[in-house]
Amino acid sequence: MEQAVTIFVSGIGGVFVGMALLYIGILISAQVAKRLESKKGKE
Amino acid sequence: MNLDIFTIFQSSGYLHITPGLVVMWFIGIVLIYLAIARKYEPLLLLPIGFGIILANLPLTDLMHEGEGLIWRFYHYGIQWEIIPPLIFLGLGALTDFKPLLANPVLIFLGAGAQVGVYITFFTAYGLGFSINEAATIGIIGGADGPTTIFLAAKLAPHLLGVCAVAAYSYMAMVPIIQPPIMKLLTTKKERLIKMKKARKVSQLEKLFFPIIATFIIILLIPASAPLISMFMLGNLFRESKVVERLTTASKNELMNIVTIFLGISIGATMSAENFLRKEAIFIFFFGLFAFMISTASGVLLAKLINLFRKQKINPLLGAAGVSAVPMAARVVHKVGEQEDKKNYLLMYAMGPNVAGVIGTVIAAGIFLTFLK
Repeated sequence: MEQAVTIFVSGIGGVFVGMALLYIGILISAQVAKRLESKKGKE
Repeated sequence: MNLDIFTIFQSSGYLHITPGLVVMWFIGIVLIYLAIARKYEPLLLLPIGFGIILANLPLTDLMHEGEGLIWRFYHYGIQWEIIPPLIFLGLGALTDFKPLLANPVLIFLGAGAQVGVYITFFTAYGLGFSINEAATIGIIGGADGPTTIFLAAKLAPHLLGVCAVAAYSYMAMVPIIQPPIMKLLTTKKERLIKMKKARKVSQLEKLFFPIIATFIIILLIPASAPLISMFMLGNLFRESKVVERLTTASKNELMNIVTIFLGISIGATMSAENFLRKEAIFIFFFGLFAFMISTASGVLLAKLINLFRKQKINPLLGAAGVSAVPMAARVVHKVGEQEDKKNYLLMYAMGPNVAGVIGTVIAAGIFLTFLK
């Protein structure tokens, strides 16, 4: 039972942490892409 | 001469037909009927149905370990983890992440739907299934066929057939299962919420995503690597725009070929002795339970997010967090359209829908991390 509880808690937590990291990754990559594109536009 | 004919008859399968085999033939025929007449996931249910019939023809040895033709498909394709990742390669080549990148907050709805996976896991374990079996049953709630097969092959191979059929059957029934839950958990006012116009997503962002996602997810959950790596590689093919041949091959020829082997192998694991057990009925019940809970948890998470946001999300989008691409997104659009014909939710629903695929793979990876 202890293992099942651990999996339950870490599972839900792990999925949300994974998605939160992806969310941050998307926001950062959007900024990087914007800068690269504006730099390219200036050139 | 008469003796020879008698000997042939004795060595034929006719004398070995049992009631269990006949029941399995019937199940196989029902799946073929559903695939052809009702168009229920025909690409999978048709070969699965035929595979069930083949596996239950006596004396054929098609699934005989080490020798049988279909056993080889199953062993090298599924047990060796080849087919599910190749399906993911094709899915990656087919997937457009633009709706997700345009509304990144919707990614959390893909996580919300995975709560159902873990609730089902916990319930199944509490009701007497082994921990590996419970994990395999729980993942059905993710509504992702290849992930269910991938996990079942590793954790509970004896449940592979029944879990795969349950997953694909319920995926086909998403338009029946989800709407009542979505309506029950939302008010008319909430269903009428119009989403803010999505921002423009550049090609560079779309190109960055598969690379970034590969790093983030595989570093976090290494056990998810076989599926995520192929999924993102397929998407990189697509977004790079320089390997059109590889993109086309991944999403068409390769995916079609592996689907044939996947379907027939899954069907062939469903022998009478494996399938005709009371556990199979429980698994079908739990599969439905998992789908319902996943839908509900996605919708409820969207409502929770709305408590903290000025710009509200239509909570119906939460139901698209179960993978079932693009069926769940279409259902969201349809339910929204019933309230307001001008409320076009499909593009927005594709965001949590593709996030749900990633979420289910992460959930499967976490199970493997603990249980493999």
